Amino acid sequence: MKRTARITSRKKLAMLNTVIFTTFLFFMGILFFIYPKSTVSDFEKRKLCAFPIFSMDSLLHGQYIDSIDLYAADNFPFREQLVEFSFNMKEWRGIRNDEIAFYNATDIKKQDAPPVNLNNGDSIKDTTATSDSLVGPPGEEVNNLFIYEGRAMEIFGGNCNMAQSYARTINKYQAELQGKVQIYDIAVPSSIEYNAPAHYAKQYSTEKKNIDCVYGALDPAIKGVDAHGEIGAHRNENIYFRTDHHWTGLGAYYAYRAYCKSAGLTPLELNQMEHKQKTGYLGSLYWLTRDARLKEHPDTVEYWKIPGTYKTTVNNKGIDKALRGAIYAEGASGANGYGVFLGGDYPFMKIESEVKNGKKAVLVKNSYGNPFATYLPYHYETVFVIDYRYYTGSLLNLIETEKVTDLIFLNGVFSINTSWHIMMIGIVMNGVGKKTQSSTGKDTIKPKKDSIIGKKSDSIKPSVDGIKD
Amino acid sequence: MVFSSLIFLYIFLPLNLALYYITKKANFRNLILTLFSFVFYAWGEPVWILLLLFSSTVDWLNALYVAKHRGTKKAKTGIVISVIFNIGLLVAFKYSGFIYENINALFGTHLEIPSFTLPIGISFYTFQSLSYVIDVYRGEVVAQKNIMKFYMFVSLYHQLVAGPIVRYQHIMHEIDNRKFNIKDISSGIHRFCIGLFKKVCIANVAAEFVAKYMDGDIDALTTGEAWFGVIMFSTQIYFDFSGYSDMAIGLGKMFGFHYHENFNYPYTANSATDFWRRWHISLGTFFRDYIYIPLGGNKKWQIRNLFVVWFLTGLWHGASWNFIFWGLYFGILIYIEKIFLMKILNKVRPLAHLYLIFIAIIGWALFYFTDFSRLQHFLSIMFGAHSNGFWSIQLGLALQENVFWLIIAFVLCLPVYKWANKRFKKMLTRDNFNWMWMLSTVFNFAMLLLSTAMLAGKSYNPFIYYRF
Repeated sequence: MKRTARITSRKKLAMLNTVIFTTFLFFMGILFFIYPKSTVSDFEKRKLCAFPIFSMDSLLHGQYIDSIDLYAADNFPFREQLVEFSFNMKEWRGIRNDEIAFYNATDIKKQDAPPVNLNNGDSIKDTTATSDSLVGPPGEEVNNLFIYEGRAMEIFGGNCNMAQSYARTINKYQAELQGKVQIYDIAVPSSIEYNAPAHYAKQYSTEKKNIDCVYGALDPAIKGVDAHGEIGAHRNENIYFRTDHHWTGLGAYYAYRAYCKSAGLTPLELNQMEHKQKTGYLGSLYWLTRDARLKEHPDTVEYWKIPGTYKTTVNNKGIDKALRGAIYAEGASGANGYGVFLGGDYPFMKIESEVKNGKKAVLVKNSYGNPFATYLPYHYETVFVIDYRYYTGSLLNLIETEKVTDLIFLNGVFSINTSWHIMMIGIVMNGVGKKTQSSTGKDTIKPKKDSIIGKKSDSIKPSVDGIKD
Repeated sequence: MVFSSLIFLYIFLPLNLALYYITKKANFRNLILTLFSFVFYAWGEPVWILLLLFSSTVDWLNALYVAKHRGTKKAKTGIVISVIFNIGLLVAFKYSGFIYENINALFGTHLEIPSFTLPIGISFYTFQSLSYVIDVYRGEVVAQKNIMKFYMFVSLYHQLVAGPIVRYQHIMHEIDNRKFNIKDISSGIHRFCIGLFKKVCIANVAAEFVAKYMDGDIDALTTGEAWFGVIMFSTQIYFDFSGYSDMAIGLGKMFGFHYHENFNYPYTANSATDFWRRWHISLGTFFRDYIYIPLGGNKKWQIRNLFVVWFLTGLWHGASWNFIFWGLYFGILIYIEKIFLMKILNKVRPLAHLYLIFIAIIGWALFYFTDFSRLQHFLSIMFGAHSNGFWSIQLGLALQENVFWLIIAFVLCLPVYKWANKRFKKMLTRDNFNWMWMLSTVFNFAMLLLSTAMLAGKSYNPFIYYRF
């Protein structure tokens, strides 16, 4: 009697198990179709995959279905929460070391889906710094990371040959512009140079040596600015972000002082400027690793506003019209905190001051140069800020037509040691297009770099990895 | 399609279950399963479905022919045709590149190497249909007259892509007579969730370490890192493959099929011989029944037979020399064990176990590297012939930060589940019966949720204007 009762019960329980399991699968499946879809991910700063457009060819070659897989993965209900949960699960795998952690580039480097760069200042309403949405930031390269006491640092592995090759590229400018402008080169060390503890020294190579390689190979007429020494003298201040791969406004300020020393200018003192800050900033290195040790110590973005009034215009990629810009995009917030400096990366930016001293500077930079650029307009009649990654015009033309007096190259050591960056700095000398570039930076010719950086790796394809069938 | 994908879990599977159980008609259910299997197969490479259909049609016809002429020479001809046809397909689609490469290397020719992608599951389904035709010839099974049913047998998506190699005779009865059994479905779900967990939460995590320590630049590896890397690969391949088999068996049960076990805790083996009785059982028994024994087995030409079987076992795993060496490596070890080593191993069990773990790990290094110079380099690092040292800070951190996961992974290589299941049944009383079983439902659900989160996490693809 009892035995029969138990068997019925076992059947009921099996039914319960089956019903719960299948209902859940169904429920999520239906939700997938009706759940509101968003087009971008706030977490990942990228466009989510859209549903693919059908073509017989793409179906037969499997791309259509691969794209559906990507679409499903990107648009799964509660995806952002699930992703967050899976990151938290990582912490359960073992005992966290509060002092130190390593991230291998291969672990964090994923370029499976077409990315979009959302990270630009939000103060300029009618434009974005990234109109070519399917092209990732150029030269993007993830390095091995090192987290020490809540601070993320990229592990430097450059070599002298590469540094010298960078220097030779700058020397070409000197050869072309001999006697017309004074050229400066500012090689900026990265966080690990000052913040890694000595007992982990074996893990990275020193940047000082690499910077010496650059300066040693520069044409003697070019002035190499000792940013390394000046920043190093303030190593205990907030000169690098803990959660981002950039330096801070203060770090850039010390490089600016070093520049003034080389250029014979009197630098602004910090107390001559209006000091402002934004708290709670989590930068790129946090978003890449989602490491809790970083989240626990968010950064503060500090900036110092130079005195005076300035007229700023920018040209965006592929847009002819010059738009109003700003030295400080004070609306930049959240993960875009660094965008406060210049409002992000524009191919061409022109800042005019009230000073009429006839001095005009061109700053050739990538995003590392943004905070540095904010101090320069105080000393010049006009400052042109050129992002060599996006600008398609000719620097030589610009220098000639605008009668530029100072040409400044500013680069972080990682770019100095990346051949793509060296190549782009070389290319921007004469520009990309055949068309002569006007000083407004107009261009209609598509930059060549798209073909270099538009490369995408294969789509995510989960597989029975172990079985080589 | 793969089981460990959100599309499969939350769209394909529930839809398949619903349409399948909507009716009680056996023919309709078979049709649904076959159609879903076709979609499953065509999901990745739509073109290869034609090859699958072509190959199974030929084998189906061939089996009918063989059955009709059994006992005559014609039946033998049918068998020869079937063997040539199936092996021919395998050679053409899986090994032609390899053969051309070797001819080019050997004779200095410049034959153009064919460059098509490997049809998924071809090694599995050609073996399945070949074994079917042989079984018909041997009179062990009756030839299937209905081609749709035969298509279903070959294309059943549960095992089509990655095994186990299901023989017709194992499921022929169930093709026509599957019974609705809720306990089976429930235990199938349980088994599926276990497999999913093994694949997503263990194998995929181990794969991250494999990528870190075995892919890319191995010059700077320390000895400890190399060992950790290859141990992680051993973990990955076991959980990947056995997890997949668990999912296949579980899915089978959900639809009324009972497939044979494919793994039996291989890392608890005490010898290479024992290992191969526990690892990919359906492949081992296939080679035993269709090659080793017909060749003469232990009785005639044993060394030759062993060589042939292990050469083929290696080659079956991939079109590259390292797989062949890996197969022969086990062949030689098994032979040595046969002549004398087994007697010694039987006397020193704990040592025998260490011996097996050691040879299995070295075997996996051989299996992993298709490039011999890399293999050589890697082995030299494993055995200390380098100046990179033994340990690294990163390795210590990796162990510390994954210590619980590592313990779980290693413990799950042991028959703990068997043990826990026994304990579970012993602990059941009338009072706790209900909630103990509900606990198992919660357990399933937890595994499903963890795996879902991990799968969603895999698509995390940050793009933070990283390099400036």
